[in-house]
Amino acid sequence: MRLPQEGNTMPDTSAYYHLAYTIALGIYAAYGLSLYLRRKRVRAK
Amino acid sequence: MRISWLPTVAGAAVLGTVIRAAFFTPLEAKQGAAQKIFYIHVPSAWVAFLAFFLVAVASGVYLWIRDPRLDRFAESSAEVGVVFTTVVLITGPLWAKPIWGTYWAWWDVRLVSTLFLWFIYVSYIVLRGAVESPALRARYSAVLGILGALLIPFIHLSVYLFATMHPMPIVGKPSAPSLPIEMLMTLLLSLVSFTLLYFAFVRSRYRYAGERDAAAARREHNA
Repeated sequence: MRLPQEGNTMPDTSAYYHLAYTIALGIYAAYGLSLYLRRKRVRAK
Repeated sequence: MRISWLPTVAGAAVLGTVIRAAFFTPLEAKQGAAQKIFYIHVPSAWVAFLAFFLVAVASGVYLWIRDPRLDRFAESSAEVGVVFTTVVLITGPLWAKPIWGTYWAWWDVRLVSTLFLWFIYVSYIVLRGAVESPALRARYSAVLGILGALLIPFIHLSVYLFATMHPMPIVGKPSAPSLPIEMLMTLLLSLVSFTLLYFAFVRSRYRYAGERDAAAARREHNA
């Protein structure tokens, strides 16, 4: 992997980057929330 | 509401990693922004391997001393490992499409063996739900947990053993890392923050398993 040099043209791949981060962080947040809710439910029993 | 320090620190570290990757890490010369998927894909894969390795260790010790806490830890680590592997299997193809021109290649051993690893630990979770006797459930799942982890060294070495599209390790190799220092620092930060997130998830999942088992024991006692 290299840093860009002066005059380099890079492809616009930002849509894939944004989508990957959104899905990954969404999965981790949803799993964290599911753990919180499961513990809350089992404590209420 | 009581604030738990580990999830708070882990969440802040992951947020810090995302901010550093997005705004303070340069773009790669050929791949552009898609290369930044690296900072979420690689640490997720590292954590998935760590999670399944610890499942195997806890399962092996469980078969020896039969302590239910080890079974609960293995169960927790397996579920968290599946979550991280799911992220690996989604972010990988999203990175591959703009770089390789395709989301997936069924002939690529690294990709397919990672999918198999995911299936094995999904089966582990399904198996646990299907066996009613706690002792049998723990014993069967311990065996599966150990066997599944045998795939980890194969997955790691697959890029050396077979012709794959997946690149060879950029950091986890005998020679020096082949990436600029700015990118290496972001990668190291991401490895630390996602490892913290793993421990936060496992601790919470382990506590849930303990509370669930205690509630089941109370119900049985009252019946």
